[in-house]
Amino acid sequence: MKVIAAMNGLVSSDVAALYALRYAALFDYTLCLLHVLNPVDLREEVEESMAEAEEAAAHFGVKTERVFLSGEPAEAIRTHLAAARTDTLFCSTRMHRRFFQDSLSEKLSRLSLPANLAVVRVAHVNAVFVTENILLPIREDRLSAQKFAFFSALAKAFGAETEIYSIHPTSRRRLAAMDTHTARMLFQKINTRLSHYANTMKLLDIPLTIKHAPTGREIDQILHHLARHDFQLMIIGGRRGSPFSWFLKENPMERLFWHTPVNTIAFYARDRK
Amino acid sequence: MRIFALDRQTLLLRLKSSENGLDPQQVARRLKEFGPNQLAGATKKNYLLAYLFQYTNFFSILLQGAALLSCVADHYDPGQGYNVLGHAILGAVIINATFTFWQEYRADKAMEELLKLMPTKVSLRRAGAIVATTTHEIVPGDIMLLEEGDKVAADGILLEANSLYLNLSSLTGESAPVGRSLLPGETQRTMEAKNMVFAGTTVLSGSGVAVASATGNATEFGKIASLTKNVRKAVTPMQREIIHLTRTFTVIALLMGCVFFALGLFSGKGFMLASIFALALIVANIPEGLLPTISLSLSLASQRMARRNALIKNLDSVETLGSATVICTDKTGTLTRNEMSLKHLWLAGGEQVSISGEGYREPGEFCFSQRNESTEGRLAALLTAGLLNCRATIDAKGLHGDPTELAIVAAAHKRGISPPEMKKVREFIFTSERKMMSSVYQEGEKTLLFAKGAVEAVLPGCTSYLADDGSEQPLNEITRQEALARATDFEDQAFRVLMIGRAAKEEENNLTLLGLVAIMDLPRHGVAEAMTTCKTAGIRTMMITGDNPRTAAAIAKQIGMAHDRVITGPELETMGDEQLEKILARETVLFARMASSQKLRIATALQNAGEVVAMTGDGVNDAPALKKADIGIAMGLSGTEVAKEAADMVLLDDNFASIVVAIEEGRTVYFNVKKFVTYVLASNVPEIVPYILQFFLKIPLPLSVIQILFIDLGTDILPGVALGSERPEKNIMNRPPVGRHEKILDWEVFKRGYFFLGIIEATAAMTAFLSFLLLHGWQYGTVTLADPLLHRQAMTMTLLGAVTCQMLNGLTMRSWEFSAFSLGLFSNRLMVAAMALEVVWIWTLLNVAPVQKVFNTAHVPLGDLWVLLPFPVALFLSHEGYKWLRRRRSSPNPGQPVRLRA
Repeated sequence: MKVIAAMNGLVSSDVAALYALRYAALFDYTLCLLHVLNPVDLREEVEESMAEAEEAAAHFGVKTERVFLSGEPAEAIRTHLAAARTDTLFCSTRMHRRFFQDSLSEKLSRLSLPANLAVVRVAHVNAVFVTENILLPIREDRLSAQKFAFFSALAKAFGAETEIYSIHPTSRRRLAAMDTHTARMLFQKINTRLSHYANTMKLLDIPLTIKHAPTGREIDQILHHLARHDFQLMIIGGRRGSPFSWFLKENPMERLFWHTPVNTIAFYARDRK
Repeated sequence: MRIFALDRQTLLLRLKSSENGLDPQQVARRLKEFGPNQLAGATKKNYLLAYLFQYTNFFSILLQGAALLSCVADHYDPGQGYNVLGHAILGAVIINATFTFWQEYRADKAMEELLKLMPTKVSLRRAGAIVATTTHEIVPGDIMLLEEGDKVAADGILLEANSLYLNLSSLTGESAPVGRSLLPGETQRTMEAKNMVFAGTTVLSGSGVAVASATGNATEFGKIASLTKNVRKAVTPMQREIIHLTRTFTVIALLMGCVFFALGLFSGKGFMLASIFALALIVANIPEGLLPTISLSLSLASQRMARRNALIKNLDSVETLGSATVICTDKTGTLTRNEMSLKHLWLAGGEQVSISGEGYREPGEFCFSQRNESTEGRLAALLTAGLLNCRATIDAKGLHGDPTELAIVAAAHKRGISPPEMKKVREFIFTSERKMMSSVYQEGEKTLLFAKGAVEAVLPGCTSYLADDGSEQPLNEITRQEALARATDFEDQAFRVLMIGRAAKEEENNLTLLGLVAIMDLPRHGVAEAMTTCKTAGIRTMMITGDNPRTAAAIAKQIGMAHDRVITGPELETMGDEQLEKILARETVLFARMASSQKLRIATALQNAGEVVAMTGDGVNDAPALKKADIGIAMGLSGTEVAKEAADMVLLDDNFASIVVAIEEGRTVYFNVKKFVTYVLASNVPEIVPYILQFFLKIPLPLSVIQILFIDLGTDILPGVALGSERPEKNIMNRPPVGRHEKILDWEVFKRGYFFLGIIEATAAMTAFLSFLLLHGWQYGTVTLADPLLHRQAMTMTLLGAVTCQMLNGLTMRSWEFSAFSLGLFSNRLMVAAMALEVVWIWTLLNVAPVQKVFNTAHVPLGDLWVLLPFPVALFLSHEGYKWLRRRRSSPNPGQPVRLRA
């Protein structure tokens, strides 16, 4: 199996490649450093980045290979993924919303891919070297097995402590009326539903904390939580967009993705059809 | 390894930067990758949504319903002019919404303009050259050059530091200078790393070079800024009032409409006629001009406040100011000048010296308690030692450095002392642990060390002192005790005390004690008067400061700020919410040694205790409290953008006195709104009564719906705005604050508007109508007139009856309790202009054919207009009499106006 890191010579794609490397190292996969040739290419920077990634991979004992594709990037990558047995494709994205339009990561997130997709947004370049705490915000107990597997794999790869932050969206009025007993019962119910994940983490020897927050504004609550605690990485479940997404109101997950002050990976599970 | 713990090479490698900085291509790419260096959280207001929101208030919905009903009526019964009516009502809705939105838009733009004034240039090293660029263009990996006075634009790790001191108060709330070094120290926390600089902080002194590690929301400043988003703002009193007003009028209008619709159906008028009749009554009951007049009045008030250094961001907040019962204020920069002044010196020989002249540039005199021939030399030695051990400078270009050091430099300048030519070779920097700093100088072969710091840090190192004969004597216990006693004396008077010594070698021991300097941040001019005004206005003022309780209490005493007790930050930590609320409900507290984060708790406790809280703040940590308070007040000069963003009002001069001025304006707005609501209510009665009379009596229609809209949106608006721009009444700051539950639309307003002035106006309108018809041959019982011109003339008389009464109503309503004559009849120019315009309107209605066609009016001969004259005069005189009676009843000394309940 392979883990692919899409590289373009930019700092954030180098960081994405390092996340891919740690992931590949955990499963003993081959790290494939991929670049799609294009007219405005930073070929020199790409080669330099690949050399650095290879050097780092050698340190972790990970096999690497270089792949250069041509053509329309998203389509070229999809074709390549169909041919190669790939677990996850890591690619970086630009930070500013304006530039996200028509970016490779956005196009990929819209496509039906035969591999998992991890879109990395980099806020702190150095954080990939000191990932000690990873956050996974979820809504109540909604956590897919794929997302959990990715989250636990990265936690294991970095030897990091983890936290599942369960948000319980509610109205202001209900929030005001919620007493301690009701809240405790609600949290217990969610904990029970998440208990198999907690047990798995225990078996994997990964420290896990589950926290709860009933709130009227879920994204603000997560941003608030991030500001008060020291996380180096956050993993969120990405939502597959459509060509018309741009015209629609920014969804909560997008807002979280663009406003977080820590490195964030939006995870899109592979299409099983 | 954390980024601040990396060695120089690894750090630059990780950030893909170099000593020479990034090249332009790298910068362009990183700008796309990481985005501009600005907080993305402050989302722009959606003006389209804000505009559409104006169409969702009760009045608007009701009028939209009325317009729809008119169009339906026109569909079933065409040719009756219902479509014109529908369009007219719809026009009124659009005018209303557009006008209200426009006022809010202008206020927002004023704030944006203010933010544009912020300095945004920074120096960077890019491709080996020094470039000046805007803060938005900094990217991770940029090499930032930091100089004294610079605002740090991004988080970064120091590559070079030369006696670098930062003011981190915008992040931590602590205003003491914080030294920076090239080593991070023993920490795992970014905020505690000593080799890091942070966005939003300022360089107090020294210089440095740092590589940017995080920008925008990823900075520590950005993280804290996101904390403000979770604090919800309560509905302002004005918003509550507007909801109350619109609901009340809507209920009255709907009730009256339904009752007369039912009566119409039962009396056999038919469904259509009954519906139209109900619709007319609804339109007559709704004061269409009220909302735009309120927003215009608030807008005018905010403009007046901006001229007095208080910039209002949210128009509704203007009136909230009038309700403020507690002001929680910072000390430094708001109550005090944020300019340290060296006021007293104590020479080790025993003399005490007082220095006049405040601030850094003002000249001053030195006054000696006693002196001998060596005093001048010892004074010069003390000031020279202080001067040589300072990094602060005062020159033609400006002031540079820490305020405490600036005070020493200013005192030396006042005495004409300049630093001797010596070479500085070393500096032992100030840290909060050491509480002192020293500078080492070389003069030929001689090495000299000058030390200054806290008494407890410097005194143990002193072994000798400069005695009154000018010689160095061993430090005896008597002199040591005297120095301590003097220091305690000064500290009791809220002075910051520094001890100064010198040594002839490069060590901070065996010092010769030269003396003490007592420095103070003096109260601002006008603050003491503002405190007195607050007292008479029934507003409690509470100081929240990071300083020690002794300093805080001394400043409070100087400015006349009364307080029942002092609570310190650690005490507050141990206190329960309930206990705090109980204390705040009955006592005025002075909060000392407080962290910015504790402000939010104080604001919440005060609000829970039923107070309307105005809270000042400048740092990013203050933002949650500013958002929570009923009125958040940010400092325009020293405040961070985050604080300004969170606040409702920005003080352009950071002066406490400006808050009191703003409160006066806020109260004025409250009473002005009350006045024009009464004014508008009065005109509703002559609009409703004709319809009711026509329903019960056999008379022609006295007033058309178009004419009602003409009064509400044509002739009432300008006098209403003029009432809204009235100056504060004489006793406005002698009244208690407007209560949280006090309503604008109370019984007094109803009584004056509907049942007193309104009845007079209705009588005027109906008398004019009926007398005109009777004089022109009309017989009672004739509902449909054969001559349409006569009908239009009669309706014009009704309209004029109401409008002329409203003219003098506007004049007498200028004061809620004082005589209109005491204000000067022509002192409100807007009112004079409004009157003049109304005369022009009347002339147009009587003489211009197209206008007559639209508004169903006609020319009325001058001889028929005499009947209109007595009513406005009667209205004016009776209201003046009413006010006089109220004054007499409320005042213990007739003729002396004292406070009246609104």
